[in-house]
Amino acid sequence: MLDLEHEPEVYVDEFLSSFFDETEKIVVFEENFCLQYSLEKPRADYFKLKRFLTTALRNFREIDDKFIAGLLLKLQKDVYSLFDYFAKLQSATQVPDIIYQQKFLSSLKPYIAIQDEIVTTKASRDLYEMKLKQLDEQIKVLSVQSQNEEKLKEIKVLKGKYADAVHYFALARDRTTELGILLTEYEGAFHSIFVERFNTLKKNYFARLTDAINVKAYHLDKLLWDRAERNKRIVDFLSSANIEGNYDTKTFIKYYLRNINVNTSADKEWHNYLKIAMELLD
Amino acid sequence: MFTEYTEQEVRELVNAVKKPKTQIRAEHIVKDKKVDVNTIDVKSLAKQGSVRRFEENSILFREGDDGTDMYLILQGKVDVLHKDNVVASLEVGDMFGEMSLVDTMPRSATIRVSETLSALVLSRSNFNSVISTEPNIAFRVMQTLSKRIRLMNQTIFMLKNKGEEEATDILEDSDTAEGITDDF
Repeated sequence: MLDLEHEPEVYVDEFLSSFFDETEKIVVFEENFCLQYSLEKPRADYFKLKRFLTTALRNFREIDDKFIAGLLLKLQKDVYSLFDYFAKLQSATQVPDIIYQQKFLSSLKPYIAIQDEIVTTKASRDLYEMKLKQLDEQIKVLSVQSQNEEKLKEIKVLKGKYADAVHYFALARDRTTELGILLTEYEGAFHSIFVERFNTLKKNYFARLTDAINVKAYHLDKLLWDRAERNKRIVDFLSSANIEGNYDTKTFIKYYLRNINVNTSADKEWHNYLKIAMELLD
Repeated sequence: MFTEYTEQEVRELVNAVKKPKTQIRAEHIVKDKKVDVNTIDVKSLAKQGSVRRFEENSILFREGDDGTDMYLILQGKVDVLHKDNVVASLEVGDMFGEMSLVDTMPRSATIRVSETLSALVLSRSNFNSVISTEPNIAFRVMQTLSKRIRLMNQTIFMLKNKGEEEATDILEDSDTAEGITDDF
């Protein structure tokens, strides 16, 4: 029987609160920033349009190596570190079962105590098993020798030790089995609660983080083009390239799509999204 | 992560999101506009700037804002507002906002579009470049500034002698009423 100080939910919640501690702080920080300044939310998904941001930043830096500076540089670093954190979190939370096995269970003191006791009990069991073999050998050897009183007395002592060893061996063996069952009970008792609560939290944090990153990436996109149209080298470059359109990502995508045959493209889903994005981008 | 932004930086971000679209290839667009090129060398300016369109009633900047751009009206009209009162109206060929680029002081008037506007916009760096390479444009800017100083002196004189209401009436009737504010 499990002897738990609290309900299983308490152990799970305590662990998850600690596991998502950094994520919670980041999400709250970013949400507060967006709320404090009522920052506009984009309609397009900047996780899908990220490569256009990256390409535009790279292209403009090639045209003018001093282009990415000041606020643009600060925001670029901020947005990309958030994208990186998002990817890191995705990877770290991909398989809840692994987190459950490797991190959650090992955070439970009673579970660790059982694991430790199993190790000790198994060692004790193995020791008595070895001792039984030794005593058995010794008794056999003495039994075939001349049976004087002294030898008989010695055999009697060994048999007494053998009986004790059998007793302790049986105790250790039974305890190992009991502990094994208890360990399995622990593993089962928390699993469904853990996975359910973990997935709920994970979904919530990813949704909120996605929104916050999208807002910042949208502002990076706008700032990037605002700075581009103020940069003489970039203006000259775009003008002489006979590009028609506005200083924005929409024009960038339009020219990208012109060079792609969406029907034969390997990544139709993404290219179809770009067509939708053309409508969503203001 | 956990990057802190100053109020000024956030304002820049918000402005970047809210600003109207700018078309690429300003030079080609300006050729199509019926601007009196005698008033200013539009072609030279167009090489440095960009043309933007603003809808009626949109605010280009407000009193107290930092000045980052200068505007030349290609089409349409704007009202100059001081403490919510229209003190002047500007039209095709007029320029405004250049003083903030010269003295880096905040805007002292609000500009509201009264008739759908198409304007050539020059940033501070482009403005500096134009001034240093195009003497005729530098001269035109000097003329505008000089006119404003004269009007300012005239305003002060009238206020001193006739009272604010009468002075404003006189200035509103003036052909060069844009000079009422020291910078917009």
